[in-house]
Amino acid sequence: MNATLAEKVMGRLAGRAVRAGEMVEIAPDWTFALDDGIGLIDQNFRRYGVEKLARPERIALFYDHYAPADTPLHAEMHRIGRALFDRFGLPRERLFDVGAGISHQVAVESGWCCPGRCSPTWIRIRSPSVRWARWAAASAVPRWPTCGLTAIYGSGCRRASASTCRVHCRRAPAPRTWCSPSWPAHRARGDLQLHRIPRSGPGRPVHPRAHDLCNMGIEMGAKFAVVPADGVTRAHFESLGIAPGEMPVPMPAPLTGRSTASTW
Amino acid sequence: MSGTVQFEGRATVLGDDIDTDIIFPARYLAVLRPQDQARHLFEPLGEAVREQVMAGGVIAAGWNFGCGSSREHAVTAMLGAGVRLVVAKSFSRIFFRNAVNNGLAVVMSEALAGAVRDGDAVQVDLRAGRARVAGVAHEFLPLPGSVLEILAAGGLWAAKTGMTGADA
Repeated sequence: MNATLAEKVMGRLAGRAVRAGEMVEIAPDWTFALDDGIGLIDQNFRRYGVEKLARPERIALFYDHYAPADTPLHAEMHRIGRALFDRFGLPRERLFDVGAGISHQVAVESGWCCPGRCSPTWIRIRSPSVRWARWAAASAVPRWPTCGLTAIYGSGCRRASASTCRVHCRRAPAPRTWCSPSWPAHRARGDLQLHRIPRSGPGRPVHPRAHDLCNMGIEMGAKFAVVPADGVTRAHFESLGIAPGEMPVPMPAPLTGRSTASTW
Repeated sequence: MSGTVQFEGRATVLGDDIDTDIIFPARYLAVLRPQDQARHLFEPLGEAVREQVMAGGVIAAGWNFGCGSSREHAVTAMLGAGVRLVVAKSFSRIFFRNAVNNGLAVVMSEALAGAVRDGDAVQVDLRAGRARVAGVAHEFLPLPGSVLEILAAGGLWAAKTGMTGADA
């Protein structure tokens, strides 16, 4: 049966073939939460009387938005998260506290977020704000990489983020992109930044850089983004028991002022 | 199906690409109670817009409503402000799901959204796919039954537990 990649990913987790439009309940490969959302999660858990969590070993919480906490209220969010972990007996090694790194980088480098995996964030599926994405694209400093995945890979890790160094989410620095003799008019500065992203960790081999550009496109409003699969990606899918099939190859975009993954 | 799937109110018309930073700025993400979140709803658009939204309870928007950060607060802030229906030409997919999961009615219809003028009285029957805008009848493609069930229950949590937020 022909199926989209999303159908294959969901079908793997459902244990049967699924079709778009179906309602299926699945256990995600991983479930992530962040410090800016843990307050709502805790509130809902209490409101609806949640006493036990499924697959606690597959849950991780990252403190990277309020790191370090800049207000008492943000510190309270951190306290709530720690207390939630204790209340449900979640493994503390899955709570990446202040200084442990940015969620997206950690999740990708740990190999938790990979093509073919389903790793939504807890309760809500995250994606970056347009403002943030534009900011990330504008700051071509190697320590401000993006590491998101695209929606077609079923991952919740879709936020432009900084690396694991001690950089905090404050005001965007002035763009630091220098080009000589000039930057092509049809290229975004983010292209340059994406080329310069350092990668490491076990998750690195299965994430072509073009994925980042897909991610950024989606974050900035695109409904869908696709890049050609390379041999590594195909092998990864096959290791998951997913037949990648014939993947579409994007057509090179005309020079309309917007760049796409296929243009570089 | 049980529960209300009919909504009415007076529309506030917004444009295209209203992102979640406009709906609910990120600096307030630690504000958890919907009633408190409502104080910051559409803050970048000014107090007058927020008051109009709160008085009318219906938003009509253009393309790609709710794009940007997928923060659930964007939906709960609207609910806290008394918004019960958003009609748009299209939605950001994650916002759309957040809306359904929290019991905020959404209608995606280019024709219907385009027909609404600021201040119009809007009535919508989600199940029937019918609407009246300033007295004029319109039709739209209803949401799938399974999605309507979640909306009718008041959101995903309520649909799964049989409880409502008021039970807390």
